[in-house]
Amino acid sequence: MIKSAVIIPTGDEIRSGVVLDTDSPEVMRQLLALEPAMEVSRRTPVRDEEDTIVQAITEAAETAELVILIGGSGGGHRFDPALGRDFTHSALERVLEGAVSRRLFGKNGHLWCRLVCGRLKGALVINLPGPFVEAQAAMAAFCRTAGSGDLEIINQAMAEAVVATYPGGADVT
Amino acid sequence: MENDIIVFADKTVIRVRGLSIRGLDTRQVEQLLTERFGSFVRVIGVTGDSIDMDVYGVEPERILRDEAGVIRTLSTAQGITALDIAKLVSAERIVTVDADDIQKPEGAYCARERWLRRD
Repeated sequence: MIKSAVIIPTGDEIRSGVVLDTDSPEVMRQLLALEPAMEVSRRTPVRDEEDTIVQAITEAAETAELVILIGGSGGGHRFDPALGRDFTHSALERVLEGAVSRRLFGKNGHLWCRLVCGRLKGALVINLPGPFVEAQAAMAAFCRTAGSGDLEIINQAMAEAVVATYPGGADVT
Repeated sequence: MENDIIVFADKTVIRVRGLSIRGLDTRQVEQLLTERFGSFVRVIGVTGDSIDMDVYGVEPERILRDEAGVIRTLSTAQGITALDIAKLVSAERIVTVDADDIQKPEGAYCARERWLRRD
């Protein structure tokens, strides 16, 4: 049973209010459906800066059993300077211990999404893609598998759920 | 441990500029344009004056022909005002690459991403 969770939205467009944060309420809804007694809080949206995200993860892991980051999971600015700056997955890679992850590439060779699952200071830490339908699907998969406590099972289920939101098939390599 | 998954979805990436955006609910935009195209639409990037979207299974030519309709539809979404300069500046279908070119052991980025990589 998870007793406490912190949701950390990322992205300058969320922080500035250009885009409404519809993901966090959905994540909170699913967490409370999973465990009604869970204490869930949402942090102020974090800027798209790797060091800032690392700091937010580290602080959240000190107080919560579950840390959920939203957004910044794709190739983003690394492919197109006009797109958002995606640093969440690289920040997670820096701080998590024994993390497992799955990279979803489009057939064009671009990184569409990278999902990471690991532990820090005893807290379980995961990330969700920013697009609502993908975040919703990944979160539902997490809730289905969280009880296993197995990072590999959780990560696989979340990746498969995100893939299922795209029209067309996929190959796992 | 890392595993790779290749997604075979076919999509056209479009960008509209010349908008004034504040308080956008991306779900509403996706719903409005999904109804217009009869195919899935996903918002992938938003700034204060532009929006980037993936349109699945629709040819770029059809989207470009419907530029006025796309902008008109966007302007009905809460949080978007289409300015006089609003324009569909690009609509490009993604290009399929060889699977061997996708998985790069040195990083989670395709060749172009690595080339453009910056902090």
